[in-house]
Amino acid sequence: MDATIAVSEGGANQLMQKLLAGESISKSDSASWGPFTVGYNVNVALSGGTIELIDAPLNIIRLHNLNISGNVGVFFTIDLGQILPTICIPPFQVCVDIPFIGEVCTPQVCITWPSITVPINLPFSVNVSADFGLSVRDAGTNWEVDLLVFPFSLLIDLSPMATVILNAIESAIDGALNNIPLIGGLIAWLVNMVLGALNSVLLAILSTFSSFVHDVILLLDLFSPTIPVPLLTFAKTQAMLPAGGPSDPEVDITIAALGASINDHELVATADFA
Amino acid sequence: MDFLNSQQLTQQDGYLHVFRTPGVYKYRILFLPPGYENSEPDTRYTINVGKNGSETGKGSQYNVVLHWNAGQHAYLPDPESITAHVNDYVLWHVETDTPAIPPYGIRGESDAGTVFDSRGMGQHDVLTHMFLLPGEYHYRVNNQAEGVVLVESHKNLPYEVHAERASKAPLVHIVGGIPNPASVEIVTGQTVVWFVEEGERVTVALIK
Repeated sequence: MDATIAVSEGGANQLMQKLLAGESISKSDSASWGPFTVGYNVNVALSGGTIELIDAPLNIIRLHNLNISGNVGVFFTIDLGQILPTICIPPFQVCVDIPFIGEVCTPQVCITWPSITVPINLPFSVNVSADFGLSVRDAGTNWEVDLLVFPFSLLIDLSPMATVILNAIESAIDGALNNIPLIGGLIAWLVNMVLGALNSVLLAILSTFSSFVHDVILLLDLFSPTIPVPLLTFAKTQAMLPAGGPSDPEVDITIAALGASINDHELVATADFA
Repeated sequence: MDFLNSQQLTQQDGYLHVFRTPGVYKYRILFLPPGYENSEPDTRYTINVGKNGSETGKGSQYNVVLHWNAGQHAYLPDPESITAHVNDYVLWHVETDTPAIPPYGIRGESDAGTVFDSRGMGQHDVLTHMFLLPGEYHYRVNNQAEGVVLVESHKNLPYEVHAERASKAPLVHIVGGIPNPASVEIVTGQTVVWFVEEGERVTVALIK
């Protein structure tokens, strides 16, 4: 061993915060449940957390209270025509006496139910802890000390958002139906028909959102069990003495091998020079 | 804003024709303007008008409900044929909750050559239109004399008041191409009835 570099827990925290600042992701998808077509876009960002360095032989970097937050931007498009029955207005006969003809009763008009789109924002925030192993990787002109997450369970439960969704959709349908004349006495009943139809699929929809958020979070490099995330990087070629002039070039040394471990709650990198 | 054009009837419209002379009438349900009949489906539906009818102004109403058949790209009338009597009248209208179905016209003639045509209404023909959206609807009769329908939103009215107003259908007489009254005020969900008291080839259409 020719050189040793140690990083304290505080220093490791700073490195981790720098790394977390770049960890965000956004993905979108859509699916249909009968008359409900749902587009959803998930944004996730990481923040906070504190590092605990657990000594060899475990060599674990434990990240406590990491905050995973974001939101699911949802667009519910509801084809009311697939849910509501045919209703013709007015619900009574309107007749008029016309000279030379007689009593003419005017026709009813059957309502063409609209499709409505309801945008809803579903924020979420969870604190998690995760363990990371250390590894050293030859990255061409550099050596890297990498983090590789140990598989961990992550549960994002959006089911408490059911009420938010139901309230937003109830309000939007009520507004849309209020634009239609002569169904005033029916609106509450019609709204309940739509909410009843939605209730039968809402848990499935929320479960899809939760799974999607979970999958998106695991797309972050930090949480990928197969993608090492560089925490420290050392150039293999280090300048030992600067150039003294045209005839006195810089003196370099080369790091031929690098090791990494945790000792006394410090992240220790050991270098062997060629 | 609603669409209103007697030459292109929609599900918010009704067209009525009184049969004054006995005979066998055949009518077609058309989409295209006059001159393009050969491009239209040639299916004809029958109205038999018997001699022994009521006196003028005492006839009976027959309703023909048109259902859009997307597969056949045609309106199918229900009933397919009618047996009526002199001075009885037939009202055609569409019943559907399907959006975006094409506008149509009714054109028929008797074996004696009497013609009726919703796209050019004759004497004692009637056009009805239920207004679903609020607004100020300026229209022209025969592309000339102007009338207006002022449609107030129902949203600020208690349901009972709204229903009471909607239970009345204002009647606009068209005499010599002039609508009378020239202005009517209604509420959404209310129907206006245009009656061609005197005139031939009468049209009613919104001013664009």
